[in-house]
Amino acid sequence: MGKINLDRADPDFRRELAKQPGGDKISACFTCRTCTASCPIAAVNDTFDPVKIIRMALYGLKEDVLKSDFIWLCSSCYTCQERCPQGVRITEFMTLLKNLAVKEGNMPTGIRAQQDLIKGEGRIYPIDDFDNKKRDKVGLPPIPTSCSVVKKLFPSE
Amino acid sequence: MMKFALFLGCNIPARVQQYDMSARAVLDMLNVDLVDIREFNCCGYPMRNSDFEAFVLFSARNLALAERKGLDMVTLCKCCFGSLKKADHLMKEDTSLRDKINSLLAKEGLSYGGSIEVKHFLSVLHKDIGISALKEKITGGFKDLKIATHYGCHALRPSDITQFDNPTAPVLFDQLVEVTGAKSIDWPLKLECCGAPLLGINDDLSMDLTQKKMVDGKQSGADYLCVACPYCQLQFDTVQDMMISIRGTDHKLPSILFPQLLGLVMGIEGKALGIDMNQIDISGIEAFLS
Repeated sequence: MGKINLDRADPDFRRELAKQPGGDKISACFTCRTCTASCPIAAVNDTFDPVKIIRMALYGLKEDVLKSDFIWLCSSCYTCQERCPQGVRITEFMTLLKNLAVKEGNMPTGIRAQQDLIKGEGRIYPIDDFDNKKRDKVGLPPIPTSCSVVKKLFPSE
Repeated sequence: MMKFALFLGCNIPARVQQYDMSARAVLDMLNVDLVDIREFNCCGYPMRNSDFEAFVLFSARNLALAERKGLDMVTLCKCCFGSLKKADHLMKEDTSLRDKINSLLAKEGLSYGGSIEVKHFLSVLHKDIGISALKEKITGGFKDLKIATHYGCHALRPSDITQFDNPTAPVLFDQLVEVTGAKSIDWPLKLECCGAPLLGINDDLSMDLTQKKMVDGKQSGADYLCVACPYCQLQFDTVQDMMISIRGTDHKLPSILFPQLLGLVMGIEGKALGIDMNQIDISGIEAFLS
């Protein structure tokens, strides 16, 4: 991404992050790059680099981070978090960034589709009568075909 | 008799029925009683990236349902396991989150007090039943079979929460595989991501991760991969099969679910273990039985 444009930086971003789980310890990062060296995604993809994302967040480059495609490439394998010598909860931090991006309306279509399905049906792969017939054939108990109670659980919807 | 609430999650009933069949068949022979709680919903895992509190709410609802019945939970999926463990941890440690979630669950007359334990299927076999009790049930054994065990990220890490095994040098799954007479081989990418979480977000990247693991397993001399998670299984079975036509790759490293492998040496028939239900043919594994 070349030069950092500090005119676009939001100095409050790091404070905003520090108040939330996953963002609370990122300022302890001393850029040793253990996360990047451990990351299976960074090993095969040039646009994903955990230490860079932490730096960008600390510099306040909120928009560049939250509108990026790269935050969605984290597979949440937790290898970086397990190995970080500074106790930065990197995977939780990536989860926080994705949550914040969603609040601003930035999310891949696949994630949106999953969210709608679960909030509607209670399951990511709803079960129908055909599935239950297949289950019955091999001696497995049936599974309810709807889970309407889930709708009741969401206060805003 | 040991008794658990069986948590299937979404993937298994819809796409990996043979895991359900084989796990039940094996646990039945080991005198483990499984209770199906019909009201269970998704573990919440797919919501983590978009709405963290909704994820905790979903997970905690399942925990509360099992707690109401006074049962510990056993999961077959590593992602369900990781999610339920995380939610269980948060409901115990984060009091303001717990109060918020419990006030939402109260609409259904539920609440979670943190009194149950969530276990993965492999832990139940290894810790609750134990290697020596397993050996007593084994009637046959594999010979000259080399298995690449794939641990699965969300069982191992974050280890402070999952408490599954040593996260850098785990042995639990290798020991279980070796109970069957098979050899668990060393392979460099053993503990790495299968690629499944990126399917639907960036399919190419997802397949890159899978491909690396296939090549590594094959080069390390494995005859089969062995897994205990539906996401990993779908990736190594369905996606590996798709990659043959999409990418022209053909690593011929089929994946077997652990209860299928174990069931075969316990004398359970292949049909009852759903051996014929995998996408990539694994029937050849029976030739290794001595």
